[in-house]
Amino acid sequence: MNAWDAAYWAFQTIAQPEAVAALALGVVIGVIVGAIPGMSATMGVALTLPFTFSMEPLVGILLLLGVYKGGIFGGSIPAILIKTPGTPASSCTVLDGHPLAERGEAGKALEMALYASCIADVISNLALILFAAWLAAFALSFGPPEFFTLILFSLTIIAGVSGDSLTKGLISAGFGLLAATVGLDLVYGTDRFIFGQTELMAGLNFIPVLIGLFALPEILAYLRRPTEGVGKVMDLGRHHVTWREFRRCLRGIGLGSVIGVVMGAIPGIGGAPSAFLAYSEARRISPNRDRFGKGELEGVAASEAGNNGVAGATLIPLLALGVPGDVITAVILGAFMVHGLRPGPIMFQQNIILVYALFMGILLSSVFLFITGKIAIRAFRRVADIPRSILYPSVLALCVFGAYAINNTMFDVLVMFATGVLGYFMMRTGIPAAPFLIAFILGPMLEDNFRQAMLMSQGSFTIFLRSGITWFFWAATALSIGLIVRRGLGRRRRPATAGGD
Amino acid sequence: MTTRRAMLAAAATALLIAAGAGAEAAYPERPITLIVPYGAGGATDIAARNMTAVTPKYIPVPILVVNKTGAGGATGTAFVANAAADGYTMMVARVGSHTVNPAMKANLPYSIDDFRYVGVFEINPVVCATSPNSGIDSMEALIAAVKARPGEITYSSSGVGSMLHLAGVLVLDAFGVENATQMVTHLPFRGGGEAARQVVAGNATFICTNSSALMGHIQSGALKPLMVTTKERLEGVDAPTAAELGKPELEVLVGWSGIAGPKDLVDEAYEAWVGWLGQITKDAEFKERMGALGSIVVSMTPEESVQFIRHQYEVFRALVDKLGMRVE
Amino acid sequence: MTTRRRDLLLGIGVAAFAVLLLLVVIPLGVHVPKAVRAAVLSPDLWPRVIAGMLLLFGTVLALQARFGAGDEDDWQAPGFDPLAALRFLATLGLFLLYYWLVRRLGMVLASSLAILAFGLFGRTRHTLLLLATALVLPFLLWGFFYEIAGIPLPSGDWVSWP
Repeated sequence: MNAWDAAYWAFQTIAQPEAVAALALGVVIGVIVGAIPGMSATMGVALTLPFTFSMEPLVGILLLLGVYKGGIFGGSIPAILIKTPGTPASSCTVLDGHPLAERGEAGKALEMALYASCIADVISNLALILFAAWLAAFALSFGPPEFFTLILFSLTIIAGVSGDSLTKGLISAGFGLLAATVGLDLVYGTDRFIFGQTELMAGLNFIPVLIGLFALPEILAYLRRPTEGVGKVMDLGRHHVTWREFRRCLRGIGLGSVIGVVMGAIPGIGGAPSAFLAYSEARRISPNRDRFGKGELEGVAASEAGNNGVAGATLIPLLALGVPGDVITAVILGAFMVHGLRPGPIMFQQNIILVYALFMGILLSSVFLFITGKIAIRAFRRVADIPRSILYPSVLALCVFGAYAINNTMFDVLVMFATGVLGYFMMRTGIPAAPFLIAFILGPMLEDNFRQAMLMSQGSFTIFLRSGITWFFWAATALSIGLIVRRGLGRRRRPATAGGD
Repeated sequence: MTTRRAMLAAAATALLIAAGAGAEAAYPERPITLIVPYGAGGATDIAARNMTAVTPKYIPVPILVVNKTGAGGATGTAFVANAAADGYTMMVARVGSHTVNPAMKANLPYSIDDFRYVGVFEINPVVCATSPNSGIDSMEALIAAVKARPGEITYSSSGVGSMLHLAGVLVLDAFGVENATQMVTHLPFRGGGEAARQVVAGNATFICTNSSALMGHIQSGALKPLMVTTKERLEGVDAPTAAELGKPELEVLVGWSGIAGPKDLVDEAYEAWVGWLGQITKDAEFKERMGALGSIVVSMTPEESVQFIRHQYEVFRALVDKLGMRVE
Repeated sequence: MTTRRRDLLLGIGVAAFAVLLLLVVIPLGVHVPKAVRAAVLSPDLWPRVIAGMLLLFGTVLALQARFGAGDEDDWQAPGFDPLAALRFLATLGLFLLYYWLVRRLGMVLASSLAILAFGLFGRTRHTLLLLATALVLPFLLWGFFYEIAGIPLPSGDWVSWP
């Protein structure tokens, strides 16, 4: 059977109503689940999994893919509206999305998030279909030393999200790195900062820390002086993204999509680092650099492109090699296996019709994402109309439910409260929260890969120069630091343009 | 769905009344929480969700699968060890959480004796494999390579205290490699999928893990199987059994999942679960689903199960003590 | 207090915290096995590096605040407001009360009370709306988490529901 025959039969398979309905339903479920803080896209996919057991393989897998894609976009809705990222991947969207919402342009921010998500999604899907084999080979060449250098490079994005004081950004990052060391040591399994608390053995959970750092300081600040902001009627909904604004953001979207595709193809990185990297690179090339972090539409576009660009690309290692790139694709791998299918090169030979049908379904998912997103924005943007004295208590309850549900423990609620207080003090002393978060995500990866490389080489540092990829990232890191230093010096020479403290 | 909801509502109402009056009703009268100490989408989680797909046929109340992850399964396991023993908090016990972890870790907040075991319901064979590019094509060649280049050969695992961690040295020890922990280097990764990928990519030399985790790579030729630990050869895996290689004692090295409750689990719940598990393990649908994942559904009596778990624990413990692998 | 002075204190505080980490918390909190293959693999290497970083950056911040240029950003921070400080402490108290109530009344009922309490504490002018939210929202969340997602929510010692 040649490729056209396969494509014809694949079209016949995908054109059945159940398959299309499953995909649409999946996207709707995903957007809802993603929009609830504490219910990540991962949980959405895992919870949907049992329902797919009794379905046809294609229908079931399309349902899961729909949930995945919807979930990643859905997370941006609360990130923009209530400063609470619905999923870790949307934490970067908070940086510019929420300031926009505060200015009364929530509708605009949400629309831009949707457009960026859909465009990145299409690009990512095309990359999956066209370059799967090539990108998979590239991804496989990432061992611990390559990872280490990639993460090291990614850490330079801290400079881009530090606000006006790099020193404070680095202090924030230091605390993030420190918080991430709590738990059992990877190599020896011994205790680190556990102090006899069983709950701490697993380390600090990402979601409670995330919610604590972003959403709670707002609430604390409001309750401290509840009169602030009352009477400030926000004019929403009537703002739409104009064609000019859209064109302005296109560069960031393109860049974010490419970063998302590459980061997604490499197993084990995920949407959050990708979004931050896309954001920081978009900021670097943007003429509106100084407005980033204060409600710049380009920032929203870049970070959403960065995290949705990952969604299609994480399927590359899964389908081409049978290697799940993150927890979500691990669940999807489970769905394949339950139906007796094993993703990998063999599947391209034995089940090519299914593979093609999946590709078609994936392309279709971007369309459903757009439609569902449009409806969701209409439904959700009224949230910003709710008076703060009602909104904040409700958000607090939502956060408590979410923090609990992520690992079914009240301990995480305490962790959330504690990071909330920390986040509040950081806000008051002008320490930015984003570097904390980036360091919290990337720190363990940096340490793990460093130590794994050391184990591989038996303590020899030359392993960090073993391949072209490592050389590339060393050079990129050096260049990035060089640019930061140059910009810092430039700023010193022109003190008038420097911002506040 | 409606019946489930009605049932839940009824259960909730009954509960409110029961709480007030302190009346006792027969087990089970409300949904049962089934703790999975590993992440969503992992082998244990899928086993549990496969099970809940058929439980409505046998168990009159809903089973809520709850993932409580972290610390190599210790978080969820410790939670169940300390949970109320009323039968409403049960767990999926697993080779990692219940035999390897207790054998290796002194800093664990529970021990193998803190549970009442209902039974083992599935077993999955262990396969040792390596990359074809490594130049190693048999256990013999692997052992020779380890002896020739001490410390250079690496094996990947899903972390300290995982079955993969112990399996690597257990196999080498059985094949006469002295001081196995010093002769090979343990490369821990976060998760079994990642551990397998690193062997495929050539960053680690070999891996010993559940056949289900490796089957795709073996079929595509990305991994070369060296040995299986089942009694008979495994379909689709072109490798000798441990017994064929003269090491039948390695047959103890298998992955398993079972149902367990806290140590003082009430008899009423215990007996109910023994009955249900007996029915579930005979369910054709369940067997088929588990088979698709590469595991073998078994019907073991509670006594057999306890004996099986205990034996595996003792073998592991003896090795840990011999090689000084205990984590303080 | 000026922002300059605030940053000076902040830098000193961070540096002091780092010293505390290096001298007390890391030796007590990180267990190092007796046989570590290589110094670069020791479990306490990474925490020590981080503590060193914090010490460095804390010192740099303090020095910047003390000697740095940039008088243009030396503005007067808002003065101490005893009422706001009291309200802040009260909010923390309410958080802990909320946590405690979950253990007693269960997640859903405790959340109802918490929404009500925080709304009143936030001096809402929309009492009816608040009341409705407190009554409806936790039950909606319960429906979603428990009924649809199958996640059991904590029940309390006093009220064993949900």
